[in-house]
Amino acid sequence: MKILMIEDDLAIGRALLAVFQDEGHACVWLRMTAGAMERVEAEHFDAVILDLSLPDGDGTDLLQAMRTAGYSLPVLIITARDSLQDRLYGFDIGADDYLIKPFEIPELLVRLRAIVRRCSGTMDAAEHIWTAGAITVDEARMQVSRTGVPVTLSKTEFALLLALIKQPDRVLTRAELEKRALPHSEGQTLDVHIFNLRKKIGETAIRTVRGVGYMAQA
Amino acid sequence: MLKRLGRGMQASLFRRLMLGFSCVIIAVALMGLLWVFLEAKATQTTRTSSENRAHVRALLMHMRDIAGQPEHMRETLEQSEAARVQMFRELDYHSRVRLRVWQYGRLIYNSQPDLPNVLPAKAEHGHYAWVRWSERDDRTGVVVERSHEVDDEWMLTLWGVNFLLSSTIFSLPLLLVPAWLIVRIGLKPLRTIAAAIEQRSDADLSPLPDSKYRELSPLVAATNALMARLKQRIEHEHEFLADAAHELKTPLAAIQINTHVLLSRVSGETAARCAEPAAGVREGVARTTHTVHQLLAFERMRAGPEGEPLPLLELGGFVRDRLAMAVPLALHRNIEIEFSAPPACHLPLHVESLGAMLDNLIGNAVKYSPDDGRIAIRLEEAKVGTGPRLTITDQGPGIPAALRQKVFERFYRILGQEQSGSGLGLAIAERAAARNGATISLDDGANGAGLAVTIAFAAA
Repeated sequence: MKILMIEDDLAIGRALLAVFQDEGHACVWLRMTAGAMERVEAEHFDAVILDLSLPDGDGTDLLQAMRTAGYSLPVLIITARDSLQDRLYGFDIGADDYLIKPFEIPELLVRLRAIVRRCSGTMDAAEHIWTAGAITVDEARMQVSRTGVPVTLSKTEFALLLALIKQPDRVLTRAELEKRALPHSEGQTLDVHIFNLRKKIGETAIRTVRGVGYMAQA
Repeated sequence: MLKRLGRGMQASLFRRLMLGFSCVIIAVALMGLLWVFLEAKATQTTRTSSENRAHVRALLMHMRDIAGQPEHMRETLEQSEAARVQMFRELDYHSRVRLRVWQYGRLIYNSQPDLPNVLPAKAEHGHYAWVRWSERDDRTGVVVERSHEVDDEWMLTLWGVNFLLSSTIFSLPLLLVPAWLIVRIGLKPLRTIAAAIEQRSDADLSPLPDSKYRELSPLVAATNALMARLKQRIEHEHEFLADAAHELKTPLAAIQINTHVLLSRVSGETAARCAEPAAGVREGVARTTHTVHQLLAFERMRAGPEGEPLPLLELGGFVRDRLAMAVPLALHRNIEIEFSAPPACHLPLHVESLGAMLDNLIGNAVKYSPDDGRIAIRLEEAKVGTGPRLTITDQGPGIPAALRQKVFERFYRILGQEQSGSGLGLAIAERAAARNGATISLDDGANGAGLAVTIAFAAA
C-alpha cells in the first residue's frame, strides 16, 4: 500500500514512517500542505494520512481542495483536535476517518485498512471472512457455518449476523440493527428474528445487553 | 444587618439630587426674601416722604388763612399734632415726627424742641433716617417744615419676617414632594439596567441592550466594552488551553508510536523481558492522555456559545448509544449492564457535555464494579413538577456519605483508591449536568451497597 503522509511534527512523522516501513507500506512524507496537491495529481496513493495543524495552512483546506478537484482517495485525519465540532467538520468535508492523537498504532493500521477497503470496493479473500467464537461468516459467498457445519439463514438473519459480527467489539443498538437489517419493520420484529437466529447458531452466540442492544459473543 | 447598615451609610445619588434641589429652592427663596425686604424698605421711604410732603402742603394752606395770629397758629398746630399722635397710637406706630413753623424767620411752633436742629438723613448708630420737607408761602412769609422718622424696623420683627417667610415655608413641601417623585422616576432606568445585569448568568457575556437615554449610554457602552474584553480574555484562555493540550498530545503520540516501533523490533527473550516496562509506558501514556482529555473536557464545559438554543434530543437513544460503546469493556470483566427507558424522552440537550458526563459516569460505574457485577441504568419519565431522572447504580464500593460533596471537587481522589483516574470525572459530570439544566446527586446503591448517581433534569 502506498501512503501519502502529511504531518509536520518531526517525532511523529519519523515514528510513523518507521511503522509503515515495518508494515511493508511505501510512504511519502510531506511536512506542509504546499506541494501536496501536486503529488496527489502526479502519483497514485492508496490512502492519505492528514494532520490538520500544519505550518503553512490547515489540513482541512487541503482536503477540501482535493475533494473539489475530484480526488476520492481515502483520507484519514490524525489530529489533536478532539472537539465534536472538529470531528463532525472533518467528516463533513470528506474525511473517511478521524483519529485523535495520541492513538494506538494497531488502531491506526486497522482503520487505515478499513478505509482503503471501503474505498476500493474490492476485498481480499481473507478480508470477507468474519469469525466470532464458533461462528464463521463468509460475506462474499453469503455462507455461515457453526464449528465448520454450514447453517442456512434467511436474508434478514444473515444481514443481522453480518452486522453484529463485523463489529465484534461493539454493542449494536436496536435502532442500528433495524436500520441495517430490517429497514421497513417495526415493533417486536427484531426480537423475533434474533430469536430465530439464536435457534440456528446457538443461544450464546449473540449476547443481549438489556435495554441497549445486541452484540456478537467472541 | 451589617450590609443594611453599610447601605444606610452609603452615599446616595438620590439624596444628592434631592439635596441639590432643596438648596436651589432655599437659595431662590432667600433671594426673593431679600428682594422683598429691600423693596419694602424703599417703598417705606417713598411713602413716608410723600406723606410728609402732603402734610406740609395741607398745613401751609391752613396757616396762610390764619397768618399773623401766632397764638391761633400755635393752637391749631398743637391740635393737629395731637390728632396725629392719637392716630399713630391707635395704629401702634411709633415713628417720631417733628413739625416746625416759622413766620418771617420767627419760630412759631416746634413739636419736638428737644431734638437737634439738623436731623440725620441716613440711618446710623441706632438712629433712624429722617425725611424732611419744608415749604414757604411768599405772600405771608410762613414756612412749614416737617421731619418724619423712617421706621422700617417692623420688617425685622418676628411678625414681619414670619409674614415674608411663610409663603416660602409653606410652598417648600409642595415643591419637594414632586421633586422627590421626579427624581425617583428619573432614576428608574438606572435600576432597570442594574436588574438586567443582576439577572445574568456568569456565562452570559453578551452585550446589554443599548439604553435609549443619552446619559446612560456611556454606562451601558462601558459595561459592554468590559464584557467584550472579558469575553476575549476567556476566549484567549480557551485558545491557550487548546494549544497547551495540543502541545501535550503531540509528544504523547510520539512516545506511543515510538514505543510501538521499539517493541515491534525486539524479538525472542528480549521481547518477553520488555513486556512489563512496555506495559508501564503504555499505561503512563494512557493515563496522561486521559488526564489531558479530561482537563480539556472540563474546560469545555465552562465554555459555550451563550444564548444559542439547545437542540431537542431523545435522551434514551443518546444514553443507549453511549452505553453501546462502553459495554464491551464491561463485558470483558463479565459485568452486566442493563438499561431501561421510556419510549421517548425529548429534552433540550447539549450534546458534547452530556456525552462527556455519561462517558465519565458509565466509565466510573464500570471501573469500580466488581467482576461479574451488575450496572443498572434507569431513565424515568418526567412527572408533574419534576423533570426526567437518570439513575446509574453500580455494585462497587460506593462513596461514604461524608465524602459525597468532596468528590465533586477537582482532583479530589478518595484516599487509598487503587483505581487510576484523573480526579476530574465527577467535576466534569457536575458541570455538564449544570450545562444541561440538571443536578447530580449521589446515594447508596440497591440494598445500601454500591453507588447510585442520579441526574435530575429540570421540569419542562
